[in-house]
Amino acid sequence: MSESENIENRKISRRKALSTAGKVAISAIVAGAVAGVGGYLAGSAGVKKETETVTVTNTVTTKIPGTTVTVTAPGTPGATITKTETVTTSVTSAPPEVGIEEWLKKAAEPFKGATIRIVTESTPPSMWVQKALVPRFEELTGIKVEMELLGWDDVFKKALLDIEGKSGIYDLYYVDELEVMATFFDKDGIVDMYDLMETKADLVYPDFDLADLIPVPYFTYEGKLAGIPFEFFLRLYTYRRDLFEDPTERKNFEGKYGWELAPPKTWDEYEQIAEFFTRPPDLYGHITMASPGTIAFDYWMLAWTYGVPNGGLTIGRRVSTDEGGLLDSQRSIDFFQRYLNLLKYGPPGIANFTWDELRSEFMTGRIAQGIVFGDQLPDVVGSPDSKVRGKVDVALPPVEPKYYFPGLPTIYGDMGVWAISSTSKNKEAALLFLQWVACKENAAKEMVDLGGLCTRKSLLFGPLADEVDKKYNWHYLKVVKEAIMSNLATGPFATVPEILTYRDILYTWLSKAVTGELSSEEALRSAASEIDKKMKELGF
Amino acid sequence: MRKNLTPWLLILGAFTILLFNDIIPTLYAFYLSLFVYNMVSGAPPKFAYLNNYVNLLRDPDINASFLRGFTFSILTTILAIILGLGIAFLMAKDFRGNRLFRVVVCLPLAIPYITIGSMWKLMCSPNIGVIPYFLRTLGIVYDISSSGLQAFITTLVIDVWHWTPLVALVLLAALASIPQSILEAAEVDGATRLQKLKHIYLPMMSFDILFVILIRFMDSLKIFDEVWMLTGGGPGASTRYVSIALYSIVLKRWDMGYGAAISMVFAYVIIFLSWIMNKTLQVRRT
Repeated sequence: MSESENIENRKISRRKALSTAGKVAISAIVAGAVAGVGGYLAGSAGVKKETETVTVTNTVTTKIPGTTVTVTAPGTPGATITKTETVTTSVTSAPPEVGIEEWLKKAAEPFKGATIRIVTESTPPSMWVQKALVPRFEELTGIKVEMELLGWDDVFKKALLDIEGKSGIYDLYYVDELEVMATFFDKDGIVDMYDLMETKADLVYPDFDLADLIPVPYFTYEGKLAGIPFEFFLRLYTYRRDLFEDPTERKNFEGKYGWELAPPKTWDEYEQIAEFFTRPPDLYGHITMASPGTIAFDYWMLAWTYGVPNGGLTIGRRVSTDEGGLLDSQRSIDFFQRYLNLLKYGPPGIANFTWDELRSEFMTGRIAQGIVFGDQLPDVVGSPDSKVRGKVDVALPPVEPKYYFPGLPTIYGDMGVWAISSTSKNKEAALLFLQWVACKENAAKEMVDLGGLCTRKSLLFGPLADEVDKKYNWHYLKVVKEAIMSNLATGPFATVPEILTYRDILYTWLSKAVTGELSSEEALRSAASEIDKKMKELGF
Repeated sequence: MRKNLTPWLLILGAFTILLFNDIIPTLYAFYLSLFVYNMVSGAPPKFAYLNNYVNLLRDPDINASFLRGFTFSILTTILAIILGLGIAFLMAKDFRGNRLFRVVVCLPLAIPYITIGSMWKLMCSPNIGVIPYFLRTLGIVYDISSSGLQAFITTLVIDVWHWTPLVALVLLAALASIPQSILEAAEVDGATRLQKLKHIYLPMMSFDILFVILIRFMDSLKIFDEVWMLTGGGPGASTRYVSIALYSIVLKRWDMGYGAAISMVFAYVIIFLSWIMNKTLQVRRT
């Protein structure tokens, strides 16, 4: 029996298990800023206009349950990559003596009659939980669950005002971005789940296995855990497999560009494919979300592929190259110019598209390729309304070889937790609900029902993942596994509360370049200058 | 003593409402405007004297928003008055189907702002919208997601479409109040339609016209919902009017101090316009 197996099978106390899980997650964070915050944010980026140096310390990611791989990719392209194999434990206590339902029924007895109020974004997982899990939970426990499903902006506004006013209207807040988590923790608005699960150890399901949940390390801030994750997906390169496999298309493409049609490895290849498949009004070669409200998200999520981590922002809240940031660096300008160039291969109205259109346009069958959120793909491949059912597949996104260097994550990792409000009067009931939602049994159900939205490592690396991929006739979970193993997933933004301000200033400038009012360089330089000025004004 | 207190007691209810609804929030907004305070940031609020007001004067984005807003309001008011006057004359005429005409004309007034925004968003969608479809047949490429001018004009059309019925109703009431004897005397004197418009209708309706001009101007300056739904302030900054810029700064950027300063200035502009309106109407009345 190997050492890791020894550790995995070892019986440890629940308290110790939680503590170990916490330490694992914390050490993972500390080791490298969780693939999202990155070492770049840790202040190590020193960028000058003449010689750009980008340092990213990129960590975390469990390759297989029970092991953590630390990848450190310091400095310039071509630098040595240090891999540190760290054996940790996938916290497992005694095998479950009772099933979750039976356990929950008993544990919830003192809280019968309580009502848990949740404010959450109307994401597919939230809607699925409301429909598939809440009724049974209410039946088992006698605890009522009221879910308010809203748009992201409204969720954040309601949660923030609830926290500021200490009104205690909600018991659970939806948190899906790290800067939101940082804001809520800084305002003492949410409880530390590690602490709560330790003090309420009798309310923790013995087989819950917190460390098995993929987003846990991402949502750990200053050693505190923000909540229990219930959604995790990646924004992946998505393409029409039927078109890519069509012999005539392949022949014509190869004849025109001199290489075999396949998912692109570089942005040049992506652009050639975009050009090739742009045949208006029936087919377009590109889609993205260039609306004024979402273009700053696009910039943040995609600029990683050009070696611009974290939107060019440093931990010291600076973005201009003069101050050590990357927002107005050459690589950033080149990325944004490419972004603008590609818009001409999109369908009419692309400059007003948000994430909603990524899904709906793909479903019409008019789009050949794009970089799409994983939670939207089940509709694209599975909905009866989709014209491309069974015709879509995914791959890792392209990168720009001139700027990209190994070790830098390129795929936006979208994930969400429900965090317990500090002013909640139903913390214990909320804790039980969160465990019901994220327990292994229900996480497996979610993965099957939502086409691969997988929150648990044990499921992602287990046999069910292949079955789900087979069911949808694609390779989504295979690519997710590859991304996780190669350490390519970023965190959902970074633990810098001022990102919300950064993003709003950024979009006002980027959208001016979309209309041609400004060049890509002018837009980014103006944005960098205004953001730095604002951050200085705030005292950073 | 009791006699002296009675009037105060009578206004106590109204004053209390005013205190909590207007006075305290306004004072608080002013207080907030003196600080650099970002609600999401870990940085503590910092007293900044009048810096937010100074920054506002130097902020090209806000200045452009004010200028854009004024341009929008002037254009929308002129168009609404011209169209409203025409519609009022039509409504005043006795013709078959007049009642139906009045109902149809007034329908936009009954539609909520958000519904209007959604309706127009669908109508303007480059893929499924009826407007781009018909304009395409005329050889015009219409795409409000990439053309700032088209987006600006579209918001103008929406506002005029939405509020012209109100203007028409007010002017219809003004028309109805003109004594029939004056119009009959003009007929007897052989006045042409243009002469009647110039010498009877416009002078006698001037008070009401002035009233709707000022109301519409102030109202259109505050436009938000329809534009937010339709363009979100874009493309670029072509429809980023003051309310949209303000919303963005306060509820997206969470820059509360600066947002409060903009609110104070915006409120002052509106109050100033109200004062002009009040004065002008008083002068006209006398």
